[in-house]
Amino acid sequence: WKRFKEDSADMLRHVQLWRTSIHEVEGRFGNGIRSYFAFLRWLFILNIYIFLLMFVFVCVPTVAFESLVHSGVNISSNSLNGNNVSAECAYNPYDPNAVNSFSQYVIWFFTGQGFMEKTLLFYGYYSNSATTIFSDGFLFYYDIPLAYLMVAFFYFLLTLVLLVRRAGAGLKESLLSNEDRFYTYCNKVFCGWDFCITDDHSAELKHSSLKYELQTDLEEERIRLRQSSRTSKEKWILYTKRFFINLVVVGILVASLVAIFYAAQYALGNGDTFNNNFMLDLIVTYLTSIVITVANFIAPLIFGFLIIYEDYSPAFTIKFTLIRTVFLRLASVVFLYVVVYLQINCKIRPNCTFCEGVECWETYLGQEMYKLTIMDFFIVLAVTLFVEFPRKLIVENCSCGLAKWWGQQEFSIPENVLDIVYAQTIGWIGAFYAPLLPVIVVVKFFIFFYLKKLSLTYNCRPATRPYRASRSGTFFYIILLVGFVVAAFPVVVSVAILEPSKDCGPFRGWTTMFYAITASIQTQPGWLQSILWFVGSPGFAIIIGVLLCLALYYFVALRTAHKKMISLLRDQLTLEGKDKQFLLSRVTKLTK
Amino acid sequence: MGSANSHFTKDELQEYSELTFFTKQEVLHVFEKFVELDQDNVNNDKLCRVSMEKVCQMPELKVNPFNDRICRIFSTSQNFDGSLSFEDFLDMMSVFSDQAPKGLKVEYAFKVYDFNEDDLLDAEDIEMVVSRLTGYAGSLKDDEMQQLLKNIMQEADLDNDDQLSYAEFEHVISKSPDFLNSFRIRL
Repeated sequence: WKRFKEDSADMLRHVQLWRTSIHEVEGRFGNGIRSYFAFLRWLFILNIYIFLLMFVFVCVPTVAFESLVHSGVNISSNSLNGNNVSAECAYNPYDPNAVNSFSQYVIWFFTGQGFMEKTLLFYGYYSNSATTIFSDGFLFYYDIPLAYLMVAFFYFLLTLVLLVRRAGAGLKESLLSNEDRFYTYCNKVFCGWDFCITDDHSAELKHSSLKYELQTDLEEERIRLRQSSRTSKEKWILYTKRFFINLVVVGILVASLVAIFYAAQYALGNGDTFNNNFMLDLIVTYLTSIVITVANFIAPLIFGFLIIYEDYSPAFTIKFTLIRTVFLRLASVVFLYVVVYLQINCKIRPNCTFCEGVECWETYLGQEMYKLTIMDFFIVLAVTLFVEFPRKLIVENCSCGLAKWWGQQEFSIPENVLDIVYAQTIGWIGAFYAPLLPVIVVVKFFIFFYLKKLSLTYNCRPATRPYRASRSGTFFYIILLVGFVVAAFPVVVSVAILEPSKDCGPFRGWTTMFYAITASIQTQPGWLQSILWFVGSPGFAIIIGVLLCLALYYFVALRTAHKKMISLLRDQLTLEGKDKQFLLSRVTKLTK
Repeated sequence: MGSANSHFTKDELQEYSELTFFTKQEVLHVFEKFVELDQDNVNNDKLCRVSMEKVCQMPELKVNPFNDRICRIFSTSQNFDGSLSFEDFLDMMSVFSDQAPKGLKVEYAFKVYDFNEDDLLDAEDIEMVVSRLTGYAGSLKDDEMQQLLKNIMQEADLDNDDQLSYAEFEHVISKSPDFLNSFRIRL
């Protein structure tokens, strides 16, 4: 019975996390900000999935097997490759017997070194053993390196599938609403009010959102008129301005990357020396993170300032600022990765084949990601508490000129979206090198949601420039997809090509991390092996490639056909309108 | 249920359900709602009229910005005070139900939006509609309102007389995807 279906769909929507908060935000601040919070919620749930995957399949077995060894169950763990590293090359980041000051422990907690390195948090802790438990005639075999790799592969795959589905759905929606350029105003005015609303609060929200939508549409139309009415001379001036501003933007990007390069080199070189000065130690180890965060902080402000002179429509302004800032942020993360990689191929200690200063480069990367996450979190927290709240207090209570010029805070969507995309990209890379990092990211996003909502309600005024937001919602997911590719690429490269450290982590001793899979394939029965080898061979890839190209061509052809159909139907509609006009005039003439 | 049954004979129920889009059960359900509006008067005399204020207290109509217009167009009262008898009320609920055809809804929607009741939607009417829609949030500025009016006329006014006749209104609304979903009240 139809009513039951509708009621159950309603109820499912009710159960959604944070539904009331997001609904409130929508009513008071419009669709754009609502899509930001919906995006944050989606990422929060995604990170919970990733964390569960990693935790259940890698962390729990590691811990369980270790404790089972002591409990007398018939369990044996064998290292999967026999190479033993000589004592002077062994990986030993932390000596539990040495006496360390309390401040040392605090530093280690925040930088992930020392005692933190020997915990589940980082890659270096996990063993490369396969465990067999034999009890009551039941054999349980668990291969940790294989599990690690498969889980990583799986969470990337899961993220990709969910992301593409979401971005695709959003894209379809935005395409549909784009086509519906007919009668938008009439639709909004005459069919805008939902007669089913019974609740006072919902009615208020509906009133505000209707007002915002109408204002948004009108504003966009005004801007479009202004753009089309530019004279030729104005256009030339505008284009030269845009050209120079883009040059400046590129210059800023390059400068930030160079700064990050030097900071990373310095930190890598001096990261191990501990003076007794607490603050100095902390700053040296956090140097890369500090430089990255400062660059990411200042550059968007400059971009936001510059883009006003470029005179784009509000929707495009947001997208363009987003693209520029995305470029900067993701480039910094990738750059960091590249710098660490370059350092791996550096000076080599005789007799040992790893570098001075970086014995376990995966753990080092994990530590960098850990530091970046923490730094990012504290910066956002600090900015919200120490800049936004006082700003509100000053603007409200003091009526001096400075306060009036500064004005009340406006919730800047591009920046906040970038913050979370950036945090998520670090989370993805970090999840491979520091398996417990997703849990930190989950907690961070949880706190972010309430922090941002609080800051929004108390500090911010509604946007003075309303803009079409549903398209921005899809745009966020597309940006996230870019972040995902940026995160996945280095990890895939390191799994397939880079040599894992000799003495730490689940892949020690092998030539590449991917060898875990090849090794386990070799233990499978012959027929399965030949199938898997075929799947991995170039021939198979070519077949798949050709099939995908054919499918793509088919869909493109379908799309062109549909587009033609749509324009034909649209023409029919206008003709119909003209017919009615004609008939109406005939009727009036006849009745006279 | 039992008490409501005693208010109507079988024939009356049959008649009501034939004349509206409701089944007999639904007619009785509507009557219950009607009783809730003004218990004492209705229990005494089921043919009495309930005043407009009391009808607009109904949860489904309370927050509706057009509730007074709705009451007025369905009211068959001689002194045009918007009061509704049960038959008017049943009529209203029937038009707003899911089973009512689109054409009927469009007709009544036109009447609701026609504030000055001249069978045409002119600029004055549309301005009222828009200001009712924005309600609590405050109304649009003057120039925005003018721009909006211009756009609506551009979209819908086919004979360029600066007002929308029923035919033009019907043409626009029947193409609108949201109309059926918005213009209904579920009891």
